Amino acid sequence: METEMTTDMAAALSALTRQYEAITHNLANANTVGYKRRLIVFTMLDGTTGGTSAAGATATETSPTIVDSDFVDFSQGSLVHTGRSLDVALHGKGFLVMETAGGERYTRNGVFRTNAQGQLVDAQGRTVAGEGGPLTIPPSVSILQVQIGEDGRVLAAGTEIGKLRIVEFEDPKGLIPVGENVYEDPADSRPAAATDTTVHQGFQEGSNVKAVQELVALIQVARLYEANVRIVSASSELSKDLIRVALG
Amino acid sequence: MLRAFSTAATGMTAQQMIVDTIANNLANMNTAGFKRSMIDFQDLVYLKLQEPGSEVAAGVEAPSGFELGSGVRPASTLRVFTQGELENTGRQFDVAMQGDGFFKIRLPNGDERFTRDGSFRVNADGELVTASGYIVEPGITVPSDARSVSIGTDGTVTVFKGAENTASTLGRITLVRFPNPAGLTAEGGNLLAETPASGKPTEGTAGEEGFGSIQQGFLERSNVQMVSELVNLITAQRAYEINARAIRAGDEMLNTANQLIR
Repeated sequence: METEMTTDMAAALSALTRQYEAITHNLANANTVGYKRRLIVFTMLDGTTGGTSAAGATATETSPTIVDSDFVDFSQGSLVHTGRSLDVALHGKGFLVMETAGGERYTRNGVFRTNAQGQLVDAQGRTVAGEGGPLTIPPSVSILQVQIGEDGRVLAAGTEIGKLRIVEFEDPKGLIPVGENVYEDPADSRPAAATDTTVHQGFQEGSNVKAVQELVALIQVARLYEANVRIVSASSELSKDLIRVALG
Repeated sequence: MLRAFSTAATGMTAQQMIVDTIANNLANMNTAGFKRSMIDFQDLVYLKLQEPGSEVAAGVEAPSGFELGSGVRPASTLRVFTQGELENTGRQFDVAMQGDGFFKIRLPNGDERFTRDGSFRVNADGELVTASGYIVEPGITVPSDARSVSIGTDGTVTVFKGAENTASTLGRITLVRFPNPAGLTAEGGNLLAETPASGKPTEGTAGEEGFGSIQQGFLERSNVQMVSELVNLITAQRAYEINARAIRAGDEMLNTANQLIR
């Protein structure tokens, strides 16, 4: 009996550790432009209620399993004014598209610059996708003369050079963060053009990590962890007592 | 658990870097032609613990995967080339640029450097030089009997000398521009150097084709805004504190776990 309890608690402890790790990752990215906080959801798969499968495997009387999955909270971050002509922040559900050798990547980080060819790129040098290919600022135009409209149209000294490609996912939960501020779409679902997303030039979208929220979660995790450890040690005391009684 | 410690440590390092950058911006608040910098961060690669769709219990598939982040890293520093305010100094060799472009400077070893700082002067030979004494390209020599020197908005330098009543042209200060000015590296002394990322400089006349115009008797102040720097400073400081707090919480958790074995 106590071994079962101990394994349950061990599972709980490792789940809490992962949650703690997710919180530290969020906090580390509290100032990363376009970062979306990640949260971990635990589901208790009880041996009797859950666990039935399409294959018809019967539920067994095993101890419950903790399933943890992580989600990205895609809620809007606040827009911070920078005045840089190549900073764009999105308001709405859309994503900017980056062209890479490995296919399209999606991002909310619109801190762009130009490469030596005058193309709009991000910090990793990935080209920003326009609706008609990469956006190139002609050499005769200074980047201070670049204007980006709310609809994503890019004007260089008054002449339109293209339009930012902004897409929207029916279910952004399928997106996988791959680091360097971009998401990958494993389903390759060819997202549609965004409808309600506006582009704001000269702004950056701040990280949507809220310090207070994370701190509260942090305290919760620490306390739950402590409580679980207590139960483990109490149960081991209990078994010691049992053995003592049994052996006289 | 120990991984989370290093994750939080990357957060602290990142905030520390923001503070360093802000300190440099604030220190240069009164440096002519100074452009403020900011750091662009990226989240670090994710550790895949569980693929989406993998079986987590008999016949149960995980609705989404499980990736653990490992923190943050600075991607680059970005120099923000917004216009600084122009301040009237009344000095005849002070020039400020309104718009895009750089002055081209030649170092004694022949290398080219670029600057927005137009606090020029003339040296003993009458050559137009920067405050550090480097020649301003393409090289303008002011005659010793010059009465007054005027610099036009297109950079043309004209002079009234001796008893002459008509102005004579000495030359023109040309400007250069880069496809990607954020790719220039700062060398200190208000000088920037070309890199492969910045692209090749295009030379041109002030006021034409996207080049800024030149204002004599003015200096371009730095574009550092004290209030916004201070706000960023507070944000960074708080974020640093919270990351440290996360490490402490983890430490307490480990401590509790350690009490199991007694």
